[in-house]
Amino acid sequence: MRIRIDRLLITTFVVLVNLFIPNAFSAIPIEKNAEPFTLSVDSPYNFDETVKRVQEAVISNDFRVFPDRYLEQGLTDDFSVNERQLVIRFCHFGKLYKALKIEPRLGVVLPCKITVLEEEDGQVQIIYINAEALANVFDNKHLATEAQGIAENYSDILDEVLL
Amino acid sequence: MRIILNTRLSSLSLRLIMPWFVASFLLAFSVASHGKLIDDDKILLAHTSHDFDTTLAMVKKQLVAKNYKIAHVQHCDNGLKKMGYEVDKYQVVFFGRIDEVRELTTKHAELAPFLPFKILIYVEGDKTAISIMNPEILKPIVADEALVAKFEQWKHDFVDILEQSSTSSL
Repeated sequence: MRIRIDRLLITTFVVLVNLFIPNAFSAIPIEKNAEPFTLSVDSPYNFDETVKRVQEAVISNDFRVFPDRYLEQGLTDDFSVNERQLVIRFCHFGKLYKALKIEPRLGVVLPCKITVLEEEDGQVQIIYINAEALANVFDNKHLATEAQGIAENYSDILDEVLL
Repeated sequence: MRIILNTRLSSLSLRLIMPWFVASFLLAFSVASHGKLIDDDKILLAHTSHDFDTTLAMVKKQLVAKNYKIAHVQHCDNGLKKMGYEVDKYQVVFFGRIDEVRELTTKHAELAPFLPFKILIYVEGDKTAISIMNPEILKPIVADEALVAKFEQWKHDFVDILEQSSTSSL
């Protein structure tokens, strides 16, 4: 009986602590078969041609292009930067302004970008975000329409690049 | 007699446990009332009463203290203003450690769009907000056991950077 009462008290204590501090002992659950946050495609073109085609497709889809940056730029000296990893950054300020009104934290994934990487065997990869999957991490249902629009923009750009 | 004895023991247990319970409750209430981050959110967020420039300087200081290199700062606010939009201060700091970035792009090129890491600082009402994506959300995507400890370490760093930047002084 004595043991039972003590156990009951301890159990009650643990339950209460977990109720009041729901996140204290938990971590992000690992979702099996989670939808990927990024998408990639092998380019049929060489590195320079792929970069040129991405830049042109971005502009023709009504985005403003920022100066390109190497992925490693700023993290190491200019002579050590891998110049076969280029980030093409772009923005549609009207869409950005509207999206930030809906979700101010969106900056953690800004700006829109497409990364072009050349692997050791010469294969060129085009990698970009899966906007609809990534939008889910914000837990903001109002963001869905904007995310769908951005996903369509990426799809149109990629169609043009791979044409 | 037996019942009285058990009641005494229960009271003793309660006296031992209650202070811990009260302390836990006060801690939880304190964290919630200050609006500090909940570190298993997918997007980590902290608010501070520091002004924007002080917060940006604090974030940079904390990043350097943890051996991250700042690659560049994107002034989204300036871009929007130039296009005619009225916005408050809104900037993104890109940062990372070159060896880690290289390891990730070599093993998991699909993570490239998240590199370098980004931390957002913006004005929200009379507060300054600091936000960053919880790197642990990428764990199930790459499904690489060797990287689990790395993701946890980055998250630990980021939580610490947010807390230090929002509570400490320059």
